[in-house]
Amino acid sequence: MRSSFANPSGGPITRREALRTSACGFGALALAALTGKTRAAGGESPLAAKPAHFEPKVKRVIFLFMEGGPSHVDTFDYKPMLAKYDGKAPPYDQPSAGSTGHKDSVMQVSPFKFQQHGESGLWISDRFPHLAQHADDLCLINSMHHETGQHEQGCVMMHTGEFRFIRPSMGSWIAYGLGSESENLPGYVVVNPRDRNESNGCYASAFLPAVYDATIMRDVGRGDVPPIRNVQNPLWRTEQQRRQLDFIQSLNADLRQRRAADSDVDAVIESYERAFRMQTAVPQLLDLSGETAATLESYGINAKGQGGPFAMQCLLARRMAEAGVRFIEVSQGGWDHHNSLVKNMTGVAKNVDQPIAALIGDLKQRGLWSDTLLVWGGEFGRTPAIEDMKDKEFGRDHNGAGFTYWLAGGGVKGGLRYGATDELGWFAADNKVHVHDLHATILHLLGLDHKRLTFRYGGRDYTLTDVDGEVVHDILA
Amino acid sequence: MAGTSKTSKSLASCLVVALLAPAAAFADEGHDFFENKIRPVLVEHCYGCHSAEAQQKDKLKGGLLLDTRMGIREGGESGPAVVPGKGDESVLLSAIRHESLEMPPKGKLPDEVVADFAKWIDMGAPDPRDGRSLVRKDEIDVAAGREFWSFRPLRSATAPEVKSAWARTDIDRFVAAERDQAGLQAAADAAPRVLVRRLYFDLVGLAPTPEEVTHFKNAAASDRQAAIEQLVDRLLDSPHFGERWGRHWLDVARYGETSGGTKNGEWPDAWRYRDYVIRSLNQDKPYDLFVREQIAGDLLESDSESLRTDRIIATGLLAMGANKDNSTRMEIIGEQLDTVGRAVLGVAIGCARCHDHKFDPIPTADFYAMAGILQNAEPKDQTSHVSRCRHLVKLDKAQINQYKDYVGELKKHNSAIAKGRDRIVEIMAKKGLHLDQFASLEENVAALDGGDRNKAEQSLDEIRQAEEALEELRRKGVPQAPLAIAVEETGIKGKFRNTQVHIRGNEDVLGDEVPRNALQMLTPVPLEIGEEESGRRRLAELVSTHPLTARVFANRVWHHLFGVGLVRTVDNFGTLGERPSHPELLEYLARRLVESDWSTKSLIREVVLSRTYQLAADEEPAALKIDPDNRLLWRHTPRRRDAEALRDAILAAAGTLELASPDAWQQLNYHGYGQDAETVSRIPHRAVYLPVIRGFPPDIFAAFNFPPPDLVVGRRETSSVPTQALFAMNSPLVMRQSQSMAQRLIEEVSATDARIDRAFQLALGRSPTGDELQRAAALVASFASDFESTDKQEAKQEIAERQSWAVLCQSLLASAEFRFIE
Repeated sequence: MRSSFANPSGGPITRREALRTSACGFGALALAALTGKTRAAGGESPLAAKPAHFEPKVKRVIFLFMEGGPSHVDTFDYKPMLAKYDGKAPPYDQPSAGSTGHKDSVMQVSPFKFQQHGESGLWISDRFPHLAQHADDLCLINSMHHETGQHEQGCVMMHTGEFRFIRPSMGSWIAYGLGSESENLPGYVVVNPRDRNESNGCYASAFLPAVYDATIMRDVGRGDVPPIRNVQNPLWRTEQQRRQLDFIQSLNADLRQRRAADSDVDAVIESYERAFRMQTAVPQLLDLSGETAATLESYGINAKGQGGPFAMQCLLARRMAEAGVRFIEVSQGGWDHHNSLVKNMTGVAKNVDQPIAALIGDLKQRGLWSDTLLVWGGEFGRTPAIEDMKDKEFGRDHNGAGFTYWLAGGGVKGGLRYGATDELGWFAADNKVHVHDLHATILHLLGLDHKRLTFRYGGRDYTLTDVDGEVVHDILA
Repeated sequence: MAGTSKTSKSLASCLVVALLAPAAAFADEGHDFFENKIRPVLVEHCYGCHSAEAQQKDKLKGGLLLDTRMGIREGGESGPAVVPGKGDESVLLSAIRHESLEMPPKGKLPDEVVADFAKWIDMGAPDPRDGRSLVRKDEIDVAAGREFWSFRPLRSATAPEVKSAWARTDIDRFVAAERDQAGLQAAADAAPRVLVRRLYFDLVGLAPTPEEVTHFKNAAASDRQAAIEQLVDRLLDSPHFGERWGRHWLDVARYGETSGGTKNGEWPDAWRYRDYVIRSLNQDKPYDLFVREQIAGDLLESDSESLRTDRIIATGLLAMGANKDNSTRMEIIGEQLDTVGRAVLGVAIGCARCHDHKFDPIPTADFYAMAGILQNAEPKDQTSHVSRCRHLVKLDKAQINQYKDYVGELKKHNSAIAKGRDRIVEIMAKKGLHLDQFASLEENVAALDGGDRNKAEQSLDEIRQAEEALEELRRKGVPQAPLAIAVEETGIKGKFRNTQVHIRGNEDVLGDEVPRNALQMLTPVPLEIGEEESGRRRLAELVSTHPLTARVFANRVWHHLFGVGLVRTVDNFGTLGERPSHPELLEYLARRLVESDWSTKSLIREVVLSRTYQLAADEEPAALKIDPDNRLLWRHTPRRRDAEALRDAILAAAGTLELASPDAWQQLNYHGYGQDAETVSRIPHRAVYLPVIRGFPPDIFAAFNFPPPDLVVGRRETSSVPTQALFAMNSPLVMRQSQSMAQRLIEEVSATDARIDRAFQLALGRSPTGDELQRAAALVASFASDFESTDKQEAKQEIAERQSWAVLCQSLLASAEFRFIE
């Protein structure tokens, strides 16, 4: 019998692991006692940390999801040739897949100024003055592409690698592959998602066991609404509630005896223990009183702990990274610039620029940088051609045929511009990176072989990357 | 696509085998080379300008077609593109080498690809592509597409002969045949205690009371089958049947009471559609008529005013969609068609709005043929403004305004109550006090003193005033201004318009006008739509009686009774959907549905009276190994209660569930609670009557996978996550109901053991085991002693007793057993 806090890799327990396991105290002991018997027969707890396939470069991922589809040619994909074609028809046919270009639309030079930054000399648009200071940390992938120019499909594609069928979310795959690093918090947390994405299955475990669903935190940064509802009990002290929970779990364990094959009962048992620990861990997570004024300020949060929603999310992401959440997703909407791109992108870039730069600095300062991977990007990019919205200022339409993601943190080369779109920025052209390749690379950095991370469903083994996907070795540090 | 090319490849191979047997192996190898190395490059880099599709779009360059064998060999303006075996005469090769033309224009292909082409030409350019272009999307063969299993006319399916005596009904024989073949043994029949819970859950969404359980057990002891039949008939006749099965329909009808989008405007009258659905299910309205009414109820002949009204309300199906801000008309129509497609036909029609359906035989033009029909019916809700709703009776402006004011008042007073309560909570929180959910607000306020108390009293006053104002409104009664979220035929006689293809779904790029009609996929004989009609009624007739409609609905019924459909992709019966696990059984059920005049109740009755439905949920290791997902139905798969059933079961156990349906005033008032989760959590009526405010589901709905009301969701998720555990442990709703249940126990039973037994009966429908009894008693005692050590006052002792028992009650309501139905 293995208790839930046995070191899964069999190696020496690190100080951090020791802290984590001791903090879970009575709850874990009780759970081990309750389910130990069946676990010996049925295997590990579904959320227990599991060894990677090989030595991982990073332990966790923070996905900075930019919903709406940020225009790559106005952010991180500098295209000087657009100036030459400004106002002219593109010299080639618009792509037929993944892009929703308009007949007769003309090319549009970026209205923003690009400059080279850092020792690497990466070109970055002037809408990101803070982030530009971290140019040497960024690994730009300018050659991303997939097959859809629809928002919902694009979002589902980026999260699950497939938009036609219901497939597990990348975060669910990772939670399934590696378990949870934290005993007190879920392994996969999504902050402030759009309802639409939730209902689309962006964060769902699909055919993977339900315990790998994302836990959703809502309303973070929107005042004093608790982001996870019902996280505190109005009547009972922790010790009393533990007593009650032990009784509940004893009933559940009885049921588990009768329903040994049913992973749903396991999931319920597990969910109670985790919920119990979350009751302490979540308020701690959200309690910013321990943050220094300097840290808060770096994110753009005032001394009272108030700041823009995305700033609050980024700070929360760092706190979750520290607490051992495996896959953290924060998101900023408002990138769907069909019109008034100058005004709207200026606003939304301002929302994310300082907080992301602060997050990078913060992770570095706390020694978390080298084992955390940041992933930045949206559901697609935008057309380098104009979308004429009649009397409105110009904007750009959806483009999945070529767009930009950037990675940063452990295991990737900073200051690199990898892959390229064609000279006008419409198609991924050189060293193309498909979503499957990106997913394969993210898994690789976590020590998972995307071809070996499989789950048998409906008679065949599924992977996150379907039958495709190559790790982009050239960007690995 | 892969499938098509494979077929033609093997076909080509066959010919080669027949004619040139010795070369067969080579040909196959050559074709593999073509498929792996050549075709993908042609598709990706060349077809854009050199294919039949490009030709159709006037994009063909150089008169060269590369998408057929004939085209590539004949070549274009620059001569033959490929001359088998002769690389130096093949223009294609010199072009991709950038020696003659520079192709493709977007950049030179990698050297290894060029080398592949050279090699391929040297091999003799083996090419399996026959005359017809394989990339031409416009060549959907609809007639062939209609041959797909789910689109075909219903077949008669006769139950197979089975040897074992196990089977009781035809359904059992279909199931047994498959199961026997896999060498699986059926589980035992479910115990009466289990079966009665299952039937209540499935047919009415409620838990049986302990008395009902006992009654059934006794009846089953003398004649099991008769007892089951009696129970089933009683439940099917119950008004709660429609509340359960109506909600299933509302899931696919994406029922909501606000418009969605950032405006999320109020639809205080949406409940009329919900009640229409519930009523229809309770009446066992033939399913085809139910569908017909929802697509074209306003156009059907109705012989009474009430029927006419009912049928206008029915068209809410077309009007209920969530609005994106600034939705265009075609987006709304697309959403309507997609809803009808998925909910009724199990086909994702919406895909064809921008392009020919990639997988099902739906050309884009067909989509616009249907869109043309709906274009003539305007959803009256789209600005989500009361005055734009469809009037069910003639109303003048003053009446409308009076009604609007009334709705506004309700909302205002409800917000005032919520605000006042929040302030009290805040004041208490500052003193480190939590609101006692069971006590009245007055009692809570009494615990404060000094300035805090004064402030809280002030809020209390405001709440009382608002409550009085609400009471006054109730006395006044809801103004007679029935409105509906419905559609209205706006085409003027003789001027029903067709629409044009929107190329790639683009509103600004219009193609050919398409005559109004149904999808060709649905019928080989086009509808005869005259100039003086929109065609919506004819469409409704076709759709409502289509074989797909019968199959999809029969499968939905099965899904709701077993947790899994025979086709698990319940909303997709197209090419991308799953094939049925028991094709003959599905055919049989669909036919039974049609033959019983589309009676939902008859179909449900037949299924639940089968032995298959009545199996125990016992696990059998050997069977689990062969069929872990229970696709062959060797047992009953346990299911998690859905959000509504869970919530109603909690209230029922506590004795606080109001089983009557809300009256008109309550309907409107509940809607007025809007996003105030606290007030919504105090509604005593069944969960189906809770307001569905888009984006703001009640707590318990959010935690337990209530489907987003923007989407057609025929199969709900059933995850188990910590947020559910937190809900069960800490939510005001569960805390409060546990206290009510405790109070009930204390009033009903005095001896400890008997009280525990009653608690188990109320929550789980069974007595505790000896061990459970002991543990439960210890739990209650330990909490009671917590109180003893702190307080001795008599009044407080009463609270102490209630609270200690509430802990037990809550534990039972939180248990996994409570959540699952076996």
